[in-house]
Amino acid sequence: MIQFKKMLDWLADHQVDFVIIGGVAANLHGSARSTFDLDVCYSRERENLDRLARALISINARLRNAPLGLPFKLDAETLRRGLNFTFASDLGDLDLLGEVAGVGTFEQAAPLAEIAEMANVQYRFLSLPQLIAAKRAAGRPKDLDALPELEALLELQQITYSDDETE
Amino acid sequence: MSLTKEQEEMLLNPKPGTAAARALDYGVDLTLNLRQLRRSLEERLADLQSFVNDIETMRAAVRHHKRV
Repeated sequence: MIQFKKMLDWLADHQVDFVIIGGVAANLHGSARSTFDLDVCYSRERENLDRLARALISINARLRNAPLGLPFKLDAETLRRGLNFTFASDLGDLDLLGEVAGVGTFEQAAPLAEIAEMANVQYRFLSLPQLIAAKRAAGRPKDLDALPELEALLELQQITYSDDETE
Repeated sequence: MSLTKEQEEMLLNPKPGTAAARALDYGVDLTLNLRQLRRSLEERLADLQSFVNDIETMRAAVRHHKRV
C-alpha cells in the first residue's frame, strides 16, 4: 500500500530532483479525487539518476506488472536507457516519468511548478495550468474526466491571486 | 490557502458561465473541494493517505471473506 509522505520523504532524503505530478499534485491543489500511486517527473541528469537508483534500490523497487523472471537491473544506466517506469516498492507504487506530455521534462516543469512545504521539507508539484495541460495532452477518458474540477480550482486560484494583488 | 466568504460562495453557488458552474453541471461535488481547500497541504495529503488506508482495509476484508 502506498505511503505518500514516506515515499516523498524518501526521495527527498536521497536528494532526488523531482516534481510531483498526477493525482497527488491535484490533491495538493484541492482536488477531491483519490489516487493509489505517486507519479513524479524526475530529472535525467546523470547525478540524479545515480541518486534515484540508490533510492529505488533501498525501497526494494521492482517493475510493476512485469512478467516473472524478466531480467531487470536497477541502476542509473537502466534509468538512462529508459524514460518512463512503473515500480512497485516497499513504500507503494511509484511511477517515474522522464517527460510529461503537455508539460515536458523536469527541467521544463520545475521552474513553473509550485512548492509545497511540509515538515520543513520543500516539494515541487505541478501548477494547476501545468496539470491541466498534462491532462489535456494525455487525452485519455480518465484524464479528460478530471478537467472540469481542475479548471474550477484554477478559476478559484486565479481570483484568489488577483484579489491578493489588489490588496 | 484561506478562502474568503466570497471565494467559498464561488464554489457553493457558482455563477452561470464560470468554470465552477461547468464543473457542478458535470457532476463535481464542489463542497468536497471546499473542504479540501480549507485544509493545509499536509492535511490534504494525510486525508488522501487515510482514504487509501481505509480502502486497503476494506479490500483485505473482502479477500478474507472470499477465503472463508
